[in-house]
Formats: sequence, structure tokens, C-alpha cells
Amino acid sequence: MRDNEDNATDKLVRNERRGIWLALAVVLALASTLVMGSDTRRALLTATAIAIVFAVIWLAQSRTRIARQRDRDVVTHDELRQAALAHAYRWAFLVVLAALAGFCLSSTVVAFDLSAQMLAALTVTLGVSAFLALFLLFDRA
Amino acid sequence: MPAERLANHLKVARAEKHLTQEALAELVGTTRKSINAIEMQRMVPSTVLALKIARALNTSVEHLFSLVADDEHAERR
Repeated sequence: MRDNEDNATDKLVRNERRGIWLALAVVLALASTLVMGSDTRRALLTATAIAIVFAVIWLAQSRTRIARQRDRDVVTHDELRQAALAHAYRWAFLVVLAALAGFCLSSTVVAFDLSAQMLAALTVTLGVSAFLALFLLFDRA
Repeated sequence: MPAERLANHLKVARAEKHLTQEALAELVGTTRKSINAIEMQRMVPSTVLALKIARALNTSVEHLFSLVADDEHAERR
């Protein structure tokens, strides 16, 4: 009995993980432009890079789209993945809370020159990137 | 209350039926990785999945899964 051979669902999972890695790269690219600031040239370069990444994701996902509906349902409702999702949600929430608590404490000592919009954007970016990274970590089994 | 953990005889029951992890996963509508995680005791399946696995292997859930004393916890006490 060969238990470790790749099957259709294994390939689907691997393909989806590749998409999540790319999504994480996009979020981190956006975060870098938020943190480092951006002039027109850099914004154009970032937009081009993001467009390329999305094109790659779309091409990679085309294989998923043509997969059997049943295989897609199996992967979507798989309990191991659901558990990984639940863990990732919980830990990403705690990461965001910890970061905000740390920010509150440190802002009493150091003055931060950040607007409310920037803070909100950074919080969202941190939450999304933490969730994606943690999902990739918990789903690697 | 003594510490207990879920043990299973899934690998043996599956081998008795000459099924691969992939074939069993196909029968119960889950992924091979989930079946592997259950066999390695890294994941506790839901009641629905446990019932589906038992049905696919033509056995009972109690035959596949049982509660055993957690030796690791017992040793610490």
C-alpha cells in the first residue's frame, strides 16, 4: 500500500498554498510601501509588481478551477484545514491585540508621528499577514 | 480525574480492509492528509467524520477510537 503518493487533493492543497504564499508577498509589499512611504515612481513599480504577482496567482489557480468540483469541496471542507484556519484566526487575533497593546504602552514613552489612517492600515496589514503566515504554518502537516 | 487521550486503531482497521489512506479519504470525502493526521494522532476527527470512517471500514466508532490513560501526564504526577 502506497500511502505517501500525491493525489488530486494533495495537488490542490499544494496549489492553494502557493497562492497563499503569493498573497502574503502582496500584503507585505503593500505594507512596505506604507512604512517606507512612496513617491510616484515607487508607487508605479509597486503596482506593477503587484499586478505581476496577481497574474501569477491567477495562472496558478487556473489549475484549481479546472479540478473536479468534488475534489475542491473535499479540500475546502477538510477538517485538518478547518482546524488550521481556526488556529490561524485565533493566533492572528492575539498577535494584533498584542501589537496594539505594545503600541499603547510604548507610545507613553516614545512619541509616534503616525496618522489614524496609517495606524488603521498598519493594523489591517499586520492582521492579514499574521493570519496568512500562521495559516501556512498550521496547514503544513 | 485522570488525564485521558483519544487512541485509535484506524491504521490496523484500514490495513485489514486493504485500503490506502487515499482510498479511505476518497470513500469518506476528506483528504489523505486528514486520514494521516488522524492515524498519527495529531488530529481528533469530528463525530461526523468518525462515523463516516467507521461506516467505510464496516465497523463501529468504538472499535476504531477509545479513551486511554495519558501515560505522559500520569508520569508527571
